[in-house]
Amino acid sequence: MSAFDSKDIILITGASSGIGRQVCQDLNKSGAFVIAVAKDTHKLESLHSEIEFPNNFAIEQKDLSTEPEKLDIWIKDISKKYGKLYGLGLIAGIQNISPVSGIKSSVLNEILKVNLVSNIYLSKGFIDKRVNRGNGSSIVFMSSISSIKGEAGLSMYSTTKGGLNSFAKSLAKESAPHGIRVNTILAGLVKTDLIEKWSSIYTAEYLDKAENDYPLGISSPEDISSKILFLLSNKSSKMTGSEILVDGGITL
Amino acid sequence: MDKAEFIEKLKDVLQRDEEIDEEMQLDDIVEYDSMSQLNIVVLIDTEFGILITPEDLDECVKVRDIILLLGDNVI
Repeated sequence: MSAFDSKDIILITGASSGIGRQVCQDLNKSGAFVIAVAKDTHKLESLHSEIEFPNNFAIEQKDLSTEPEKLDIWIKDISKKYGKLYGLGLIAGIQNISPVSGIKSSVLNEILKVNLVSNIYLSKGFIDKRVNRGNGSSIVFMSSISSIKGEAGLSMYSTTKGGLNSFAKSLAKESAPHGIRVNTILAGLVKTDLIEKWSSIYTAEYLDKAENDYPLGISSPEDISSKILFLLSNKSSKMTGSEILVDGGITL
Repeated sequence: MDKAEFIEKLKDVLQRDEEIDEEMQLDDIVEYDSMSQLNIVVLIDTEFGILITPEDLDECVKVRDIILLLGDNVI
């Protein structure tokens, strides 16, 4: 039996690539109605053309770094268009590698907006009773082990992810009386195009070493996606405020 | 601000689809709870710069009583 049906409307950000794209495909295969959100229309259309059940799939172009404080209103409009939402998978994120001495306000503001502020306002909109389906509705945040384990060069990125972890805890407590669950995935290194974008740092040698250092090896998007689907489904009922490590054992 | 506009903002803060009128008993509004009271405090501070407390709201029986807290700001 599928974990979802087409009445389970789930919005996924960061849908055009990497983990977000994988989650959209897996949710669609599992029977859910997926609203895929990303800023790149061409990539969204390409995903739509490859999706297995296109009738249970919609795309919405949105740049999360532009006026993130209005995303609560935006998601209310989305729910008016498609129906009350059952799940929210907040996968979108950007990475920046820079020593603390190289921090610039423009870069810091951008990463805060995309990785933290946008997720706060999307969650704010989602927990509105008029937007979510109530009992069983679920929010999943995409965090990182960098929020709990120091790593040179990742201070800005890890700050945003640490903020997400803390926000998720309060949100879980506030929204539990309304039957909404809130959980966070703390991923280790994942083989995505984000890694390719920073190929000068994530060189082949670096990735080979990581593959050896991670007791279970580094993760694929599929490894992360399956845990996100679990947290979005009622199979994870009674789980809220959890931080799930999916890191191949590197923090052991 | 006129009453209709304020009641519309109140409805939004309460995340309520159904209409509200000033004669309604607050106890009859299922969305009116301790968390929404805090949101009403923030709404009134943001819109009018008036700092009321949840205790002020505890003394309100009807929607009209909240409006009365705002004096001439809502007509």
